[in-house]
Amino acid sequence: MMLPPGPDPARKIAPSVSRRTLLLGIGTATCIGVGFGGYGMFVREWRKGNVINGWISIMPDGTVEAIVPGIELGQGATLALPMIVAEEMEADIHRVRSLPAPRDASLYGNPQFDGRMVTADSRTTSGYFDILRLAGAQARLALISAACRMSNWRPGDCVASAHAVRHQPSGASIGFGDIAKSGTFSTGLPMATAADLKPRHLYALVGTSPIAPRAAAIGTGCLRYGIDGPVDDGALIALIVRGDRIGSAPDLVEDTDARKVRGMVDVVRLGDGVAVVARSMSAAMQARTALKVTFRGGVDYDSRADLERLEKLAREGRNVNLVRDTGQIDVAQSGAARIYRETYASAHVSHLAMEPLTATARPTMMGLGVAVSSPTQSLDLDMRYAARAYKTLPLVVSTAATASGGAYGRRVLNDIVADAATLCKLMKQPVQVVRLPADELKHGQVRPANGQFVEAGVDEHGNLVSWRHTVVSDSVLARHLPETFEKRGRIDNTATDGLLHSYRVPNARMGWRLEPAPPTPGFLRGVSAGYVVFAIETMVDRIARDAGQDPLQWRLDHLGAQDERRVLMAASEIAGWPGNAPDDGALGLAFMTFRGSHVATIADVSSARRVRALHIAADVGLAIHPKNVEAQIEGGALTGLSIAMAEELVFKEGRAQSDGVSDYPMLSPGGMPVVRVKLVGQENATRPRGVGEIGVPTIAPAVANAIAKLTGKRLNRLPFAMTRA
Amino acid sequence: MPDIAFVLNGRAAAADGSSSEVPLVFYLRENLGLTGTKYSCLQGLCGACTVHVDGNAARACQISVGAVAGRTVTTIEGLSQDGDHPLQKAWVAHQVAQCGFCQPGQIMGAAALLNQRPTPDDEEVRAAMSGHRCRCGTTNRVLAAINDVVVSGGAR
Repeated sequence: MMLPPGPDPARKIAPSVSRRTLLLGIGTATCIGVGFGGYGMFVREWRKGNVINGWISIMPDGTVEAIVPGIELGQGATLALPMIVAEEMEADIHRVRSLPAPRDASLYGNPQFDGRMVTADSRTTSGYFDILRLAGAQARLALISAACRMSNWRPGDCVASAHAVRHQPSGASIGFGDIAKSGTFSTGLPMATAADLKPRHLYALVGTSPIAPRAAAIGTGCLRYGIDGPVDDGALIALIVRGDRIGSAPDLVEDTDARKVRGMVDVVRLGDGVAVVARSMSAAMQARTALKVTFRGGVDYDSRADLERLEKLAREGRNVNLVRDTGQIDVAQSGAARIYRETYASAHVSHLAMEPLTATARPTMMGLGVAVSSPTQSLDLDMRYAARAYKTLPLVVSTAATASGGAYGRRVLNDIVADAATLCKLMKQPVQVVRLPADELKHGQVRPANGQFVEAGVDEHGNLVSWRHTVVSDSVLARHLPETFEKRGRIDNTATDGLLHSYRVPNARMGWRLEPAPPTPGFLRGVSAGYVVFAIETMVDRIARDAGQDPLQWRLDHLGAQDERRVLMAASEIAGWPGNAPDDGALGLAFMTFRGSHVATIADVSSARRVRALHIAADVGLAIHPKNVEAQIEGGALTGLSIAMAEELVFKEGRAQSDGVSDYPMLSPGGMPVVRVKLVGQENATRPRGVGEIGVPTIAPAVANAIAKLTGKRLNRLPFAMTRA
Repeated sequence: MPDIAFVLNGRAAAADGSSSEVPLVFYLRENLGLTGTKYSCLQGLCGACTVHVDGNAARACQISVGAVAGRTVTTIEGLSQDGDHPLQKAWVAHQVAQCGFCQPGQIMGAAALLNQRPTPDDEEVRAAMSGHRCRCGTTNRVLAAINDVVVSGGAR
């Protein structure tokens, strides 16, 4: 078939990134070495096929190698991104092999992420969509033009389909592999533009849900994660003993018995801990048990008492950096028929990914450089940790990602890489560091605790006239990436995400105050939206019910965008709102727009307060792999539910009070509700929007609103059990 | 010290007597290279290290090498020839896995259940799988995949 000139407007597409990677094809493999700088050798070994451009090469057997710039975390990046490429180039997805992109942000940085290589923020699929489409379209054009040179066909007579170029007048076709074998991509690589992109209505692969190639390897235990290491690697294994108290340092170290353990190599004193280095995990475990360390110093910190303080600061509202200030909030408030005020808070929460944090560092170039591999969300940030700890320049630090046993934001600031690089430098040999979940709970990262205050003015009909929302929390950016924090005007977007709701209100003031706390803050799936949306959505629900309105109708009346209203209506249909509220329970609703996607959740809660079902409607734009999108939303929802119902990492006297899975409260797998996810508006969607985090934030408010309807009790803290009377 | 003899994935195995106190999970992974058995909490609570001992689900972090003397141990690598156990096939068909790290343990847990009770009811399945943590949130697809195998009689 002929590709009609795309109905897509000729959009400006990530100019710098796209041009460089698309030009790479000119000159084939020799170009790659130049393009990849110091990693040329690595990549050339790796891409075995005939190179078309910076994203795509083809093997003689027809296998398409698609470079995937997003890291596989279980979210499906290694399938969804190649599907975009395959759709454009008319490749058979079962003959596409994904290759992880090397660390080269100038080529593979995410245009939606300041050009960095970070797999986070629900931005991978949406960020790379345009460039991958262009790369695929360029490959299609290159294959057609090469086939024409081989057979003296005219490009206008040819189409790509089913992994081959077909000459329409004769019906003859040449497979992609045979074209690749001819080696003729080196000249006249066509430049692809938006006009070459396949129009939405011709998509045949995008929107289907093929099975991921890695699924079988997972189910047989063959997929190797970070802790599994390469076979016969010979890296030493290290565990680091740190003090239970935040900020403490080792004092006395008694290691006589530890050194006697068979397979033990060394005991190494570090600034904030003591490492046992051994030939195996079992030896390291045994040595760690035998090691006696006392610690001194550390902070005095009580997280529950501090929560009160954060709440008080939120109510006071001083030193707040505003993210929105419209209208005249004070005037509006004084004219309001009623003013609602509520204080909210949420506790520290741990990611507790199943796979322990781990990184392996190997000396390279006679010890001048270091090679790091780790389950990670960012090769760029891993490089920074390694370079700093190894005291060398980025140029001689190579970073690679292994399969990752859960991430949820924890492996963005993958600090274990620093531990590995430090020990590798000291030991002058390959070292793998493992941080067990119990240690992560003691001195790992948390979603920071926070206090919030919402003040909402309404008129006599329950319409919003003013809205003030203040959040007080620690800041991930200020702590870990201070330059970025300063560059963004001392506002941490991961502490303010979710504040800008869509409800119509003429006078609004939203802001955030930085209040440092001792536990190390980290990014957790949904970041601040995970608690901010809880405050917004329980508040508007209360306003609607007090005004005698249906909370769904109130939201519809306060939303301007048709897309948002459509999602609310879809949720109400699948849940049977409001008519089918179960006799012995109640339904609760919550809505948000986040990462460009719209989500409405209706929770069905029994009179015994058991969450029986979560009905979720979502408009995520174009779902590349719908079954994967549904899995992401469902998984996020169960995370959101666990945080709402149970999770809290308590600190007393500076010590985390959880010693492991045993006493970190989580929702039991046996207690999971039915989750139904409905994707809305797929038929007309043309672009993917954020998915990875959007399942989390609406769950707590939806459940809280159902409980409020059941019992009249308004929940105001996460987890719910901490609610103030 | 005498060797510790046991059967591993259908074959005779012998561990050095000095390994008696080593948690089975590390012995499997480090001495035998069987890394399909994962470890995480090391408290017997997350299910990542689930193997079969004499056909029953056991947490390999809570059992020593010495304790499996004379017994039969099966790991995920020995569950089937080519990943063709009905549960493994159902797992793929249902696209259960996300990160996948907990899934070998989940499959071993489910397989032990179906060995003993080929047609468990929903509550029995939930109870048996409640010791398996998954932070990606795959629980419902895990249950659906098991249910599929139960309904189709694939486990018998």
